[in-house]
Amino acid sequence: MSDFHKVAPTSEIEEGEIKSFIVESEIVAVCKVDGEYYAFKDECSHQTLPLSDGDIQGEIVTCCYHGAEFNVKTGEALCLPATDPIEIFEVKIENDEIFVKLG
Amino acid sequence: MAIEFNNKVESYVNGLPEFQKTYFKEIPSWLSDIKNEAIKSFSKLGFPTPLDEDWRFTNLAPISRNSFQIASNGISEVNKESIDKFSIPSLDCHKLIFVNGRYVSDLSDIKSDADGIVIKSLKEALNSDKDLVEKHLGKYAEYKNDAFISLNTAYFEDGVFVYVPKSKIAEKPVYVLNISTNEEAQSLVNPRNLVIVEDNAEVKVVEHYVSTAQNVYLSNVVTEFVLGENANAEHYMLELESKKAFNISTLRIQQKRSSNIKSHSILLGGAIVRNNVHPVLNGEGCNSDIFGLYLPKDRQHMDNFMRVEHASPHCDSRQFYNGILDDKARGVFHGRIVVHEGAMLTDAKQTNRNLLLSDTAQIDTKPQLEIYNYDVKCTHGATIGQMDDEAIFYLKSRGIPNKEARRIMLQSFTNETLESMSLEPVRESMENLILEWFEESFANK
Amino acid sequence: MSVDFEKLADQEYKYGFSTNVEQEIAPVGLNEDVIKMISAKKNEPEWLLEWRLEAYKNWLKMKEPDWAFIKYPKIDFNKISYYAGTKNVERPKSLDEIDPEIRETYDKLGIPLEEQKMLAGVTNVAVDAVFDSVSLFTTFKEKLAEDGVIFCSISEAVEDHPELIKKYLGSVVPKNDNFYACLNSAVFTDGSFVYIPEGVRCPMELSTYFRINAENTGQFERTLIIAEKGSYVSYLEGCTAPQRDENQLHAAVVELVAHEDATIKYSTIQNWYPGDKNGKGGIYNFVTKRGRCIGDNSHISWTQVETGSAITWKYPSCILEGDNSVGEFYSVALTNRYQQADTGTKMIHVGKNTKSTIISKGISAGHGQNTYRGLVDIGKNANNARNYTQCDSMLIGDECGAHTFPYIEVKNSTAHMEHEASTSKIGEDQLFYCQQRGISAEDAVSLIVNGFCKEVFKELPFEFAVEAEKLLSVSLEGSVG
Repeated sequence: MSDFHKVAPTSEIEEGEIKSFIVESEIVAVCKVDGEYYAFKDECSHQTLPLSDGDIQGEIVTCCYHGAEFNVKTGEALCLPATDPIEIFEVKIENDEIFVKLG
Repeated sequence: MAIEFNNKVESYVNGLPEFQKTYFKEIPSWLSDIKNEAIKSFSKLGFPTPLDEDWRFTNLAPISRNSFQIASNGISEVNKESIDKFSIPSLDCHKLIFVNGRYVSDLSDIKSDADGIVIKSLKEALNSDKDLVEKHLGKYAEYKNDAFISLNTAYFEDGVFVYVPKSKIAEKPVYVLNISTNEEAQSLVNPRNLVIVEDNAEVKVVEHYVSTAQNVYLSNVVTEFVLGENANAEHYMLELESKKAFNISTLRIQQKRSSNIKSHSILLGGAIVRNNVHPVLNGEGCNSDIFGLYLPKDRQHMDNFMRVEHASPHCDSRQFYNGILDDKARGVFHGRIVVHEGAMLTDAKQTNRNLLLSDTAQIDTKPQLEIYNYDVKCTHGATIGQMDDEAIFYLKSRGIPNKEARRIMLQSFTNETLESMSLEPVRESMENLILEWFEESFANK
Repeated sequence: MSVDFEKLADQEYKYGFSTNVEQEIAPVGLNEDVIKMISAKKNEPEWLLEWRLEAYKNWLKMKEPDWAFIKYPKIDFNKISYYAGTKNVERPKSLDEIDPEIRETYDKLGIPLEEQKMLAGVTNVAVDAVFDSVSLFTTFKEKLAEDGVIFCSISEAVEDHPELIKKYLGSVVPKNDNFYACLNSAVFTDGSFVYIPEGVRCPMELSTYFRINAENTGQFERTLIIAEKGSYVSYLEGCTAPQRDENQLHAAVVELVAHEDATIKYSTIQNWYPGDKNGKGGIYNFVTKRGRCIGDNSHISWTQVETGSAITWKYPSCILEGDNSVGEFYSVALTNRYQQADTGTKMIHVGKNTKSTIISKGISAGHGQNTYRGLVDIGKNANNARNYTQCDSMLIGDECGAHTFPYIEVKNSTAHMEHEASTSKIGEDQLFYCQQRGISAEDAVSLIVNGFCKEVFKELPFEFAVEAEKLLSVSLEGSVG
């Protein structure tokens, strides 16, 4: 379970963009902030809704449904209505491909 | 050519004519009509999202955004030995084997039972028991407003058909083993079962789902139970599929006066599992007992959705759902008791208890009462907690080692739902699997 | 049942009269100009107008929620007037400056605006009286000021204590929180503001009395209560409205902030006009109430008695952020005639050792539909969080409905959560027993219902508990079948 899964070529995600992928039975959101790639579970901790529908500004992703904010590097919840962090996945880049490890 | 589906609802609509041509030599027009109606409903409904209240805690994107194709027959992978490996030991039964959703008569073993009892593949029954099938199939499992039932209705090919005529008792249980094999592409199977139990008749049916490999695929099951007056039935749903599989199942029970149903769902396998149980108590004096046990671990997601409809007076229903969650697992319990206007003197009780073994596991529970009648006694309760430290301390003070004490505690918790099983061998076999589950869980701590 | 309750007189709504007073009413409809007008009327600073306009822009994009278990014709938000004020421009300095018609109204309602008067003769209660869109008068202000307690209308607070408003307004219920809260943020007119300084135990009960009078208007009040470290306050709100054939909208927002060791008790007796016995008219009560237990050991307690309104949609909530903080919710909701209520609470456990208790009593009679909907959320870090929930419903008559929809979400393995619910009819043997002892059927029902609700009533300040019992009896009259 703990291996890395190939998600997409790095070229598929642009700076400040957030995209959602299906990795086995998980939904993983991947974004690019200051040239680095970050991955997290594509689900707001407040309600089971996709964060990838929202916007990312700097390292903060905002859920478009109820306005919760999270830090994509740490997963930390930054404002109400969210009170719990989101799950962060480890990312690895190899040969211009993004790999994600499901915890 | 394989019939393929992608993340677009249209692909499911477009595949249907080809599917009917390929898998039915001569499809009766009434069935073809139902299938066409069903896919129309599906195209209207699409896959549910967490914005649908009934799917609030379960995100189906891994299913709706995935690609699937109708499974090949995969029989070469299965033989007598592999069947013995999966089957429940020492269960004296009518054994029906389905591989990738298709009946395999060579591997099955249907014994002779009381006169007039019919146990066979549904596909066969479409011809041999045409009138009965036409009368009941799709009449209870409402495909008009449920996406998965509509998908199953459109794309089912086979399943089990059981008919127990008036006052007959099926001595041996009907055991249905569904095996999914190692496919190259992600496959979709839609088993469809129909069980008709006439007045004063009796039957037990065991549905068992397993996989030969750790594959991603979708099983979308629909089972309809039709109970006549004073009929007795027991149903088992044993979900032991690959930890990457998706399993959506719906058990729809239609009850007439004084009939009794006892249903057990044991969820151990699967990545995303949704188990729907929906009895309608449509006649005075019905009894409906529903038991559920779910043990998700790793990243498993198990969603129990139950709706009990009291449509007639003097009916009793009991629901007991217990869950143990470990690792990053997620459990959902959604139970609703609906008491309709005329259903006087309803007695309904619902309990959901949960144990969390890890801080990363999550449980969402929604026990609900919807009542339109004043003369009722309805209660529900839910608890969430962890193993009782004091009880463990007590056991330890009596010389029982810690691990053993923990095992005893968990076992007593799971036994609350297991002990109601009347089929001893099924219960034992489940107990053993659950013990293995505990061992694994303790070993990781 | 041996007694035909239908024959018993149908008691009319006691507070259904209207006051004939000259008012200034904004033209119907909602647009930026109306918001600017409201803001200007209240001499608001620029930032608050901006805040309102932002909320309005967001509201235009939002969808009216449809998940609640209530049915009503679609509200045309452009057929409502968003402001109804009394003519006098200046804030009244003393009671004598208030329109005598309005004073009479409050006398009829039994609300003491004169400071020497006491409710039920026990303790003093300070009152803020809100009439449609404007707060008329706040009593005992000077006396409270001696302890540093600020109790005034929110419009006054905007002018006199802008720093507090800027810091706390929207900090509990963000302006875009939900459809009705967002609408409120755009057009809120008045409401109460309470500030209890550090270490102060508020010397008297504070209360706000909301009255809707004007036709075709909505009431959008906003209440903000801040309890600093170690302080205590008990606050009560009451509401009534005239009997009118059309439905009127009431969309309030209440925000509570409890700092370390502070306690806020918030009680509501809601008696808006429920509509007539055929379901015509009545108030639509769509309210967002939420409290934040920010500090450790803080405590917020909601008690509500909901007997009025055609529709009630209300979930007073607690966010338990501080360690050891406590949230409580005690509720009696009664639906009679064609009333519908979808009400409950949310307890969000964030801090360690947080505790919450939910006691909800629903009574359905006539054609009433009564729904409890509640959330208990125990977060990842809320170690040893505890919740106990009990929801009981009682059904009187065979055309009503009672529904219980709890949501429980737990992400911590040390949590303890218990939920119990039951639904049953009023006990025939209990009724029989009472009648046998010469208690009339109606009194017996009232007695049994009051017993059913006792756990909630005991949380109310004494004077109001008496009121609540009376109110419940009156609301039940002539409804039992």
